[in-house]
Amino acid sequence: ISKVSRDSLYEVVQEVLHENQRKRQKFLETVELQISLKNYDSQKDKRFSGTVRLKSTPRPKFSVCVLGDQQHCDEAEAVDIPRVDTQALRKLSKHKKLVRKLAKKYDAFLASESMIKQIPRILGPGLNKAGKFPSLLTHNENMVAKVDEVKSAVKFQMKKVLCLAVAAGHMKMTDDEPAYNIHLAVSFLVSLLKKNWRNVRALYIQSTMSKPQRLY
Amino acid sequence: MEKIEEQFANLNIVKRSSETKEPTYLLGIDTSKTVQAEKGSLVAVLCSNGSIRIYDKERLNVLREFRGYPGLNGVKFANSCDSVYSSCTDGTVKCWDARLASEKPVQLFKGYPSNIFISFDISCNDHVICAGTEKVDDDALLVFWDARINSQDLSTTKDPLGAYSETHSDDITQVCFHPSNPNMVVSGSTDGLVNVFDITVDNEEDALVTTCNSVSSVSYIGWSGKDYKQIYCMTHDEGFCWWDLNHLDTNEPITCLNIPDVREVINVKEGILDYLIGGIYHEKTDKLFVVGGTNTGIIHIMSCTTSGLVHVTRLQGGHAATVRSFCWNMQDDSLLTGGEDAQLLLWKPGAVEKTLTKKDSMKIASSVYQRVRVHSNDSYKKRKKQ
Repeated sequence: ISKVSRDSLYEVVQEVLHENQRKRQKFLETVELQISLKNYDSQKDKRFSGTVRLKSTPRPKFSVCVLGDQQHCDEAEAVDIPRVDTQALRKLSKHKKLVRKLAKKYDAFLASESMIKQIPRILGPGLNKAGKFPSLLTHNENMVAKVDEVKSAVKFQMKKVLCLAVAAGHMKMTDDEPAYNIHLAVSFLVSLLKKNWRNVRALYIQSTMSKPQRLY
Repeated sequence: MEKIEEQFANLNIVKRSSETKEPTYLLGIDTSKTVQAEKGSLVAVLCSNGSIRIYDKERLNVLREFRGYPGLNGVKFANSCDSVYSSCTDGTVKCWDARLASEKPVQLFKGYPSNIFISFDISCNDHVICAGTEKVDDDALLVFWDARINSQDLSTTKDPLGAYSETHSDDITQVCFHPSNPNMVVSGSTDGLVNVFDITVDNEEDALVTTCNSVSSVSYIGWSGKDYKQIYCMTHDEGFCWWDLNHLDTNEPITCLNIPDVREVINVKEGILDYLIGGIYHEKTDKLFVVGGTNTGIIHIMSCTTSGLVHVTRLQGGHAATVRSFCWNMQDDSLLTGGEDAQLLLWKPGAVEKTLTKKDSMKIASSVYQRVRVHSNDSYKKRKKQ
């Protein structure tokens, strides 16, 4: 049972998206879900960390590059997805600077099965260190759908302070999209807590440049 | 049902640890690997109040306690003696002699400045210790020490042999040496990566055998399979991944199984699964089992196949709150479990003398067993108020 009703969720989302007094920003603001916990001891309770899978991507500019075998590279070319083939990847071998450059150029990577197990041997630990090691792309999945999936997966980790923020949408979305993302994120995050809602002190929704609106 | 699964299904509580003055969460359990005829087998338990308790395995009474070390993570016995180790956020890995009453560690393994250790393991031949750090500035390190006690070496503090710094980008939550090859070690991090290393190779880049990606945050890692050539991990958001390193150099995929959220797909008859705790690889039957539980203290055991996880059995009437640790003993098929209810339980296969009364009363009225009052969930609030 959610403690946040559909109505109050939509009310807050609308407030955040359509607040009249706001100054228009030149960049696309992100809409964030902020969760603060209570009755949780980060020293001894199980770590609160993982990946939330949203329905729609909160970051439209998020770029994904495919490190693909021949088949995947052909597919990527057909749908205009950035790609690097085996040959090009081998050219980066032992060139730390070039690997770093590749890591900086894209937000995330997908790799074919045959490539992914060779990444450390070919590229070294550059992608590891950058926090951008690829996820697996198989031949059984739709590449565009997989790219959207990667774009819609948001990592979260609670460290010392008992609150964390999760990107849930952006200002150009219609009300439904951030509302549904927030609904998914809240359900998932609360389900991971030992005492569920009794571990939640408050929920806020905020767009980058404005003040947070309380949801719970 | 296969024999091993029957064994699990027939596990019953044989012993409960006696109540202690200060209830704490039991976060880690390990049993001594040495066999001593006269003396009983030892159990070491990591307690959330910053202590390591040594118990007698059959009687589950506390023999001694090493206390006053806030920030301890993990607990492990050496393989050839009764030294017990734990890593600490104060930047050291500590070693105590579990047979001596002395409270001070007999050895200290010091890290580099600002190391905060949150995971560690010791190699199967007791030669090398490896500890993982939290991310500090931009680095998360795996630090290595020579663990051998040199009779000529009078100093009780050891400095590191070296460290790996390039292969993880966030807190390293798990380190696990190969069960029989002292040169292989696997590490897991909140960055989602599971790295496999061959530490005989000089530099970190070449020592990295492979990197597997859980795409989440790693909470537990282990080795499995004949010859232990497979690795598996659990994530903090209740995912499970299983990889077969036999296929590193073949055309076959190395991914055996990848379940983003086990709670969504597992079919538990008349029940739910709240979280995963860890895994048990059963050598004799070449089967991998996943251990999980509920926040009310029920333990679920699931078997692992390439088509998914299958629920085998539940162990109830034991814990009254989240179960955090366990230790499986291959020799006698016994299971030790520890939870947030401060209880340490010993389970063995076979019929129990008297059936337990209903779960919420938790009183065992029996002349054979000690009378123990089990902490209910309410006592958590009382403790919080202190």
